[in-house]
Amino acid sequence: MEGSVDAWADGDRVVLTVTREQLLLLAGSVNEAIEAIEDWEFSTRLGAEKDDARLLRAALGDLITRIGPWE
Amino acid sequence: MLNLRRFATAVLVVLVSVLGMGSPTVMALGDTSGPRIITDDTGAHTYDRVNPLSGPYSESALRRGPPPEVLAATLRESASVQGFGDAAETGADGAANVANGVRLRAQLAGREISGGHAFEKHVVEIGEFPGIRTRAEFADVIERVVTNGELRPLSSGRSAYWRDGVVVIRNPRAADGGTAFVPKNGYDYFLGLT
Repeated sequence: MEGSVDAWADGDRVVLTVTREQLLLLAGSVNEAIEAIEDWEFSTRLGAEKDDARLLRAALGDLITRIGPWE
Repeated sequence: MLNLRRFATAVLVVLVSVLGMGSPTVMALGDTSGPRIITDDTGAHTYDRVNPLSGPYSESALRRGPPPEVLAATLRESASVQGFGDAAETGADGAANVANGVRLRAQLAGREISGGHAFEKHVVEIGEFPGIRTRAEFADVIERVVTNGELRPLSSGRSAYWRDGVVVIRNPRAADGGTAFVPKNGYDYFLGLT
């Protein structure tokens, strides 16, 4: 797996260039964080609400489905 | 005239300490026999040696600079020697107020966090704090980390503190006021917080 991530920012938007493998890791990490960290502690440790993390997980899941297939 | 110059030096030390400005400088606090504050380009302050009256300091505390109460005591002593009375007391009291503010903030953090879920999860269930049995003891641990630990500002108004393997995260938006725990990955976890 590559150890670098290309990105450029335009205001609030950041465009990342990641490999498929890195994308799976990002999506999996969000999913694991939602699973492992309890509701009361989530926003303190992540700086975001759990509902927002669920939205990101869904968006990443949709993206992974769209750009498949995966080997 | 000499007294006036010494008093001006003491006031300048307070201003530089508060504003964190100036290129690398070494300034004496009144009498040159006292500890000296070194201010670098980043505005960080360090002592050239430990104040013998204030007890031992951790290395991280020395890197952060003199605690406000030490600065206040040094200023008060220096100013009283010069006989500047009320004006000197006002400056020293201001620094003392800062020290009290830090202490109160740490106490509040300890009280809020220890009264929340963190005690049940990280002390009782997981057992991350051997020897800690009560919420009051947990509050003391949190207070020490906030008072003496390394600070990292985080996103969304949060702040993280690190000391002796313990992370405290203050979150003004959380009902518990934050959390405190012993991360498995230690200092790397602390540095990875965003």
